[in-house]
Amino acid sequence: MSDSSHHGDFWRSLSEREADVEFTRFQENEFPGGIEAPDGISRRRFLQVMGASMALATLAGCSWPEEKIMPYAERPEGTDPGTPRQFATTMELGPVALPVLATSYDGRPIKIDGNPDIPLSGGATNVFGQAGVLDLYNPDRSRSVLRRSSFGDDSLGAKATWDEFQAFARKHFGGLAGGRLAILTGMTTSPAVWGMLARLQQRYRGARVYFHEPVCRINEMQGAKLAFGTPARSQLMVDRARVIVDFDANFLQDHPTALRNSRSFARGRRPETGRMNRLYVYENTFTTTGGMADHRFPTPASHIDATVWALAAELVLGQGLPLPLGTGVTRADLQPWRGHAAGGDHVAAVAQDLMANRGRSLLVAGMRRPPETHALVHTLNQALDNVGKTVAYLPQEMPPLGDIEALAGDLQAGKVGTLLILGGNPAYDAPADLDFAAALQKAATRIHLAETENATSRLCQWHLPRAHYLESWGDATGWDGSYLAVQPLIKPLFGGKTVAEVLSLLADDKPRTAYDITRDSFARGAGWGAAAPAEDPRFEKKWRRFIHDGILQGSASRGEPLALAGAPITPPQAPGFLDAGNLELSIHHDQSVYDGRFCDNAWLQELPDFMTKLTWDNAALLSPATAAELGVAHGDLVELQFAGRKQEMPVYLLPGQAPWSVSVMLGYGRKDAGRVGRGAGFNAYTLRTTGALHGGQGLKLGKTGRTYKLAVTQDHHAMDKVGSDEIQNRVPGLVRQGDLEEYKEHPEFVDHMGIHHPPLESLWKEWDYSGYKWGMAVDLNACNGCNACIIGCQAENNIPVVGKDEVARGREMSWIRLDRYFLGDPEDPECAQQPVACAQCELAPCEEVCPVAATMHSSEGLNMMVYNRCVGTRYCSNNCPYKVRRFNWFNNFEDLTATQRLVLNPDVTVRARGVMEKCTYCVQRIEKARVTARVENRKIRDGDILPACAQTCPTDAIVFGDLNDPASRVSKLREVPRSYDLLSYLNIKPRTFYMARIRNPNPEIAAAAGHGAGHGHEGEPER
Amino acid sequence: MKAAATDYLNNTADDPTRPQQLILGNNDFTTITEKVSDIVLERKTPLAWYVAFTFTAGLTAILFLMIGYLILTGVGVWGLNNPVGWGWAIVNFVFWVGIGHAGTLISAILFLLRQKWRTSINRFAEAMTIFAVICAGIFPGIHVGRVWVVWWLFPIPNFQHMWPNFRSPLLWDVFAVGTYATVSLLFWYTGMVPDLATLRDRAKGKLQQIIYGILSLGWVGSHRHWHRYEKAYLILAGLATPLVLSVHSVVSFDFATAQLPGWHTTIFPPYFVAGAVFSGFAMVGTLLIPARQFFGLKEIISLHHLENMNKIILATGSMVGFAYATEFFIAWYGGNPTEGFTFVNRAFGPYAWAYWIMVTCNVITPQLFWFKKLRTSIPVMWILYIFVNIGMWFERFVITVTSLSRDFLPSSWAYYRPTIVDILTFLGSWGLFFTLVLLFIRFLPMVAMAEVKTVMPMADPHSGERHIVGDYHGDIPEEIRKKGVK
Repeated sequence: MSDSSHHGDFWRSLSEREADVEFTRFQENEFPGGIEAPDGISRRRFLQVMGASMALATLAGCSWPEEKIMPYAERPEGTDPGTPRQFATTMELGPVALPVLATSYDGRPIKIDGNPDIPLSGGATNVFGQAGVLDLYNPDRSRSVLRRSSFGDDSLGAKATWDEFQAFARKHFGGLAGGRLAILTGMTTSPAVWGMLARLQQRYRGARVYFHEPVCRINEMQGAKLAFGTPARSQLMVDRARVIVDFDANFLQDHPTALRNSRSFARGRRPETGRMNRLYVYENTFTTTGGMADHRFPTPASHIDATVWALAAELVLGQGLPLPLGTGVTRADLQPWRGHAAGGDHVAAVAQDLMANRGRSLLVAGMRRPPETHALVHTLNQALDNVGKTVAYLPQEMPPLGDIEALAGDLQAGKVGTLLILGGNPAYDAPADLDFAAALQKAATRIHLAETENATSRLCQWHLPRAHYLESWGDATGWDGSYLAVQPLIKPLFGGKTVAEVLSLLADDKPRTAYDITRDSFARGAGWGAAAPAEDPRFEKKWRRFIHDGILQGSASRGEPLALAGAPITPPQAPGFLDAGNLELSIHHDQSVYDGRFCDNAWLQELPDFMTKLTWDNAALLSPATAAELGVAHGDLVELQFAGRKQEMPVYLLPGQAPWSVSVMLGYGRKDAGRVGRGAGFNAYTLRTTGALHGGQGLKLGKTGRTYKLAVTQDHHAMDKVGSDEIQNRVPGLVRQGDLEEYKEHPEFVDHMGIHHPPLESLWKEWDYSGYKWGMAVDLNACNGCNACIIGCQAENNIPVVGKDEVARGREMSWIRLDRYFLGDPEDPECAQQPVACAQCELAPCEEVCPVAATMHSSEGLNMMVYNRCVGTRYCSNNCPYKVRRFNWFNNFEDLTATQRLVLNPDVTVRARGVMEKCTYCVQRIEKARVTARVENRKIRDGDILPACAQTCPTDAIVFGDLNDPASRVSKLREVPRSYDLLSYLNIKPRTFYMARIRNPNPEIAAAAGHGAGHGHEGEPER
Repeated sequence: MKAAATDYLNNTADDPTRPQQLILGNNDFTTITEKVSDIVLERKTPLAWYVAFTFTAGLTAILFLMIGYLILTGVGVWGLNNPVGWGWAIVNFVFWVGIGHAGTLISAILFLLRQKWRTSINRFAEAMTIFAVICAGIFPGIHVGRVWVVWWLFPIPNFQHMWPNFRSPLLWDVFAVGTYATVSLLFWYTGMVPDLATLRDRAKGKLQQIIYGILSLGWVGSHRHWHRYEKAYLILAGLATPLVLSVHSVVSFDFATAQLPGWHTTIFPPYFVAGAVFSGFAMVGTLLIPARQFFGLKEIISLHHLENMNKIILATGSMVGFAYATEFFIAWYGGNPTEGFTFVNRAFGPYAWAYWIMVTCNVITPQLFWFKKLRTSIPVMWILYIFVNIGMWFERFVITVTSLSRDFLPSSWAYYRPTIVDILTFLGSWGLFFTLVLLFIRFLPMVAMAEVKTVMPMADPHSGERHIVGDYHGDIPEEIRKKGVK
């Protein structure tokens, strides 16, 4: 398949050799990879693991084709052993395509970063992008075609080959009536896949295509269709907006262009440049966007639609905003919403602010909001003159597809004889009322393509292994219309095929490779014709450019203004009153495992949620007051009863959760998960029905009298009074914040916060830094807590995963963490966040106390950990005021399978049991830049070195550089008045400094709410 | 009759006209020798000893099993976590080192201060010191992540061509505890040589004769031997005296030189030393009371001895209480809000239970020793000794764990809980300690016979004439001379 892949042959052999090794390891190792330490293993889990080992041993026991590994006789052009190479490719997550650069080390993909040349990424990635590489090496990926004759959770398939499947397909599909064929696909953006689907439909006339995407953006499309008469993708230009109102959109995290939004939001919020936007957020649970808000209004999700109408009524009827031409809303429609309670106390102030910033404001609604709300938001953006200024639209054709509800109906009606499922896991994640697992089995022949053998596979006769995107040729379409390339870095490790290849297997007489399909698709996308020309140097040049850049240059669009089409917009029902007997269920996708597809990804499972700091689990999020009213406490196992369905879940008290609103996250509780994800969390899909995909009112919460252990990386809200009072006292000095007015008046306000101290002197002779002096700036005004740096660091620095029990014991290993504090009223708190990693103190307390001198100071100011000298007294960690040092309590790599080991970065030492580790400022990258600079006979330039966290940060909140170079970015940031050192009174002289967060509250609301207390000069602890 | 029998054992009357006898009953040199050496040589080992030994040896086996498990698996088998990098292992280390202090204080300082009452208990206390230091020494060795390279802490040549870091208090610890263990062992052994020779001379078994013969280094009791012996003993007492103060001072530096609030205080060296003496005396008492009971040594280890120890416990316990108060005062007076919080958190935070156990056992209950009646009551004092043992363990727990669990950045705060391995290891160290104590009782003279004899009336060259015990200088009224003990 990959004639032009340089690495294929080499790796194919080695991977299979690894597989053999892995099989042996399975037999030897009682506790195969991804499993917690032995003391944390329950008997049940043990049996599961043993079961998995046996099953895999059975599979692996069948012979692998033997090939000999041979060294290169001649080195392929362009490869240097040991020199990593980067390839532009694209990761798809539902209907969102993320352009990335994948780093390959001797033919082995080890790291994903954003593609800096493509604005959709700008060099940044999100956690899914960063962690996606680990899925490639998931030891539970399916390793061959499987054929089944019995079905169910425990059914074992028989190993088969692609040839056997092809023989079956030829026979079966040869005489197939198209009308009996149904295809279920995810919402891909790949023109090549759509092309193949069309081809299949041509071949089997009457074949129907359905789509299913648990995290679905169809409401946005339908909302645009309602407003403009055509579906469209909104293109936000956040940096141009002075006032932004977010309705449950979480546009910094959940929007398809979240990375671009984050960057431009930060750009529109730098007080030094004079640009300072103001953000209002209406949401029921605390999101990253809510954490960044100047005013966040905790609002039950079922009230938010009414909130938009109330704001519209206030704008139009209260403030005299003229309704735009072509709107489907009338003044009479708005009348009942004027002054409606759902608008909240400050609707007039928000409306005034919007009126004052016409043409410079932006309203965004989230994907969970119904089409009508989207249409109203489009109307308001039009009325506020924002269209073409802060928002534009990209019309998007929607292929005529059935949804999963239609498919379930057709299955039940017996209209489907053969069902082809291309990816996904509908048996797990389809709405519960469809009982899709039962409906599925009405089709006589069922074929499932998936990366792992999941619940759906176990109900199908054929399971086909799917290639990971890093093993695939393909294409994709970005949210801004850009045409993106998907190219493999490695030959499929386990013989998987892409969606397009499987379709070709069925649609073409002579199956084509994904490479050929992609070239043809590219030819069409680039306007070359229906298929790629055989030999055309101009086409080759263009194709090579496409593959090199990862994007077809010029294909991205900024969007265009669209005219409103005038279809009437139905106002929502007045929201019901919530109380203890009528709670609200709010269903969200998870920020770690997404819709469940990443549940076998150990990095993501162990990634603390931004707000809850919860790992390895989901929970029912309740506000502290609601929980008190209901008489439940943190960690209580409760039974959620919604629309006749029940699900147990533990309670988590989240300050700032809207009253009476219970948020649950999808993607957990997968019984079909592999070794990593099994037993993690509770399945919220059981509460999800077609009529209430995002929840609704009428939830009841019943006590079970049991509790459940939740593994959080930071103390939760349910803390003793002494501690929580101290947090309120102390945090203003740690995470320094001020209001914009205050900052303008007293630019040096940060220096008056925290603990005051006389001039301090060191006991020791201070170091002299004559060469480079590395330092780092962290801008709290830009950081929105997206977590990408944590996974970026984990991938770069071989940071181990330790499992739930270890996290619960406080032994997570991440070198960079995001501290999150809630300040003020627990029902409506402010959120203060702060990324913390080793600050490389100049007078490092850790260095003084190590008895064996295993942590030493470099001439450039790095505080270096000498792993092979460390005896593990942990004294350094005790003496570290930031507590950023991490200790290897066990051999954390012992349990990794040979496949899992492939992801390790060879530039970074794998740490042994019993040694301490911590952030190194990515010293391996510093040294690499030094080598390059030396070869070129120059000094290291500013920007040559990007630590992994800084590289992946979408907001450029982390800046690294040489503090001895006055022209470097970091030196300049040091001079900004709002820069400060964390815990400076200890005289440790940290090299990482912080830039205080500046808030821009609306003076009217602030005055009304007494906002601003606890800031600035008053932030100092009062003892 | 019975009342009279116990009454003669009560030598605690505070009558300046009637100096107290240290050794009661009709004892002379021979009876002392017999009473002490018969425990080792003549008397049949009681069944209780075997029962106790089986139990403690079993606990010791658990200790070594736990250590083996730890070394094979990793320090993670303990309950430590990220902020709390030191837990029970270090608590136990400081606890055991502290216990050792009583022995050295009794042997060395009281010797130099010519406190004659020390002679009855010093051997026992010194043995306890050695055993406690052995128990203590285990913990820093095994608590490190890589036990197999722990020798890098010693300044010996190695392939890395590196010195240890002399700025680290952990290194000072290595020297301090190493010196202490060495000097204590020498002191104990030197003092035991004449008694070992007694055992050698009285032993009937060949094996016993050989072993005690080797151990007694050819002692024949010549004047020259006594002369050398007393010089050596004096020198070692002089060497050991500063160690009483230095060891726990250095141990306290582990904490005091760190910058952690709750550790970083200058009061620690004296406070730790007072606490160590306090806990050590309590431990000596805990062991002596059953020992004198079971082995019929009530005349030699009299109530007067115990009362003196209780007075020291009262004094050092009050010092410790004063130190607690000073810490709080300085935390407030120093104006450092982080330190202030640490102490409020100790008393009212999640570890308040541990803090109040500590205060109750260390400060409040020892105050009962102000009352003579309680101070001289065997059951009361034994219970209070147990309380002090508990309280002093908790003191180390409070210092080590509460400070770490909530330090500078609230994000890293976490609660520490021991695992079953922590608990069994600690219990196992008690097993080791008591095993060694039982072996000592069984095979070595638990009272320093030679020294006790020096404080008996017969040691006085004029004793035959004056029949006065305990007085060497004074003019004694005639009627008292006549009533003098024979």
